[in-house]
Amino acid sequence: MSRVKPAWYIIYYHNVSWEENCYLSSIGGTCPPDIFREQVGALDQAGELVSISEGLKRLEEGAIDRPIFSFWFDDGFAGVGQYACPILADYGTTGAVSICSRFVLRKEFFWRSKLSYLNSVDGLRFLRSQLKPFGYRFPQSVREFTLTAFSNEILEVIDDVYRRFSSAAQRDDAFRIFLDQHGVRALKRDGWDIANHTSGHYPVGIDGTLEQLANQHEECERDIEKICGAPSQYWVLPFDAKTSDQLLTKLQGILGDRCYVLVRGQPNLTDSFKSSPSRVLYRFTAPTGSAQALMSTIQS
Amino acid sequence: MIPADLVPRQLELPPKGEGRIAIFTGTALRHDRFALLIQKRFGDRVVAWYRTVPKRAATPSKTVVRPSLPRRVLNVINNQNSRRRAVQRIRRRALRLIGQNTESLTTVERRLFGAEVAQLRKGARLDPIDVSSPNAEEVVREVARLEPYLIVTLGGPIYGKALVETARGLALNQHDGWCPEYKGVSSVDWTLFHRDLARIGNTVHIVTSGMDAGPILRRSTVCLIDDDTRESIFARVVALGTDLMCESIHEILDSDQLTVFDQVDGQGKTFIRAQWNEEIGEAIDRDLRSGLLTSERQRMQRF
Repeated sequence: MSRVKPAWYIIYYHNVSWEENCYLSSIGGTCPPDIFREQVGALDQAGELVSISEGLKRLEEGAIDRPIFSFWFDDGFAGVGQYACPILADYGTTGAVSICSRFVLRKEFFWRSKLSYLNSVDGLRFLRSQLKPFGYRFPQSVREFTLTAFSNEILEVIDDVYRRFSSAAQRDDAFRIFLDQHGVRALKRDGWDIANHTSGHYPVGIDGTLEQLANQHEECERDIEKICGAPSQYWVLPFDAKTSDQLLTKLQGILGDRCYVLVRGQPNLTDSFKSSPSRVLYRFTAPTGSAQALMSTIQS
Repeated sequence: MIPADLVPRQLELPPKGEGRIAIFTGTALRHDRFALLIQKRFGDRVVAWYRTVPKRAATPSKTVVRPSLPRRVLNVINNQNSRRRAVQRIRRRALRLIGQNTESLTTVERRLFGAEVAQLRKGARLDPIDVSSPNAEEVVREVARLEPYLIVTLGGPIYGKALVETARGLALNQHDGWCPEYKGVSSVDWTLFHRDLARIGNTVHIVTSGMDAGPILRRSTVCLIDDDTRESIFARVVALGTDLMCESIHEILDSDQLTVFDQVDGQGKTFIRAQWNEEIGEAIDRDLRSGLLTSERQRMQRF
């Protein structure tokens, strides 16, 4: 008998793939397809698997009398189309994918993946010296520093060092880790929800960068409309840890009827959803381990 | 991914014609997955799938006379492969007694790929043709008649020149290791033994006379989990390689020119079966049991 309480649980992943190359190995977040299948199977036993749209419908109607589970994938990795989609199709369900439009359109590569690459080719020692004018001091973590001190200037420095340590062919090839326009449209055709994860996945949203966050969301929204022919219904905050309660209030004007999607590791309940001034959805981070680890995360 | 540390060059591809593909594999589940996935992705272009089976299985005799027990024991002692398998079985039983994870490669493959392969089999068009040697004259003649543009291989014996030359385009191999540093046999084990975790990966290359030494098309590293074993790491590397092979085939069929990356003579090492022994396997298992993968992952992500 399931020990999971009736609620809507959204389980969130990044990539599902047999591959974890130098652009992702220092960031983590890839789930091998066999583990993903095992986790989906365990959730199927524990409750009902539903699409995001169906889950939202039941949440709004207060029609959740058993555990229901949905799947969400951030950053728009190609493995979502290649592996997660067919595995979920085997279980008769679909998921949602949050895309960063600049990655999809091959306009800009994920800055964090550039750091991961530089870590693999010993490029960080060079980057560290370039970050000193911005306040970086060794042995501070570059990963943490670039998150907290993020700026357009730091972004330029990362890009400069990335270009120094890579060839043009490599940089073009790197984009293959992300879905392209065809991939996004294929998921849309298969019934997936396409969500807005901002255009460039910058760590913005607090300390005076709210306008930048809004601009990034709006740019991504325009691109999603061009790619999919329809606007998105969900906006997903990048680097969720930096969120603040004031953020949602300030974004409300441009969100409209959309849901804002966070992590927070809690289930979605009708009472809390309806009593909140904003339409917010919460997700659980899937552990990259056994199905048992996932069930422990949900039940805790 | 492209192997950015090697020098690229452009290779002109012959005219495609119908772009036919002939597949050559061994008989394990990972080989079936390879062939079935390529069939699924490339449909009618796949014109044949040959599986190399051991001679005993390919030509069953009508009456089997079982040797006596002492003779069976002697056969195991005298045959290197039988000895190795017997030692592995005894080792797994001993480890199970003390509560260690000891899945055989066959069990791991079933766990990782079983459901996927079962689905793939439903849509498969071609049954495999079992042969005792893919280099036999009659097989080579048959393949030549099919006029394949591509020959793609995973497992099986060394594929001879006559067979490889039946491909009007290219013969590709999926090597379960990182070239040029780890060529030859048990490449994943050797990478683990040297704790060279950044090079646990797979390479797709053009078949040449040198073992795993041909120009490279794709190479990348595998996604591991903290409690992976030698067997599950190997299975994941193979799965990754099949993806890279499909990418390579797509690129070849969609282009008139191909970017390849030449391996330099003298670069890396080619490992042979005689160099490997059980002590190496045990050393790797000790490393994995002591949390090597966890500590390496944490180290990589602490930058």
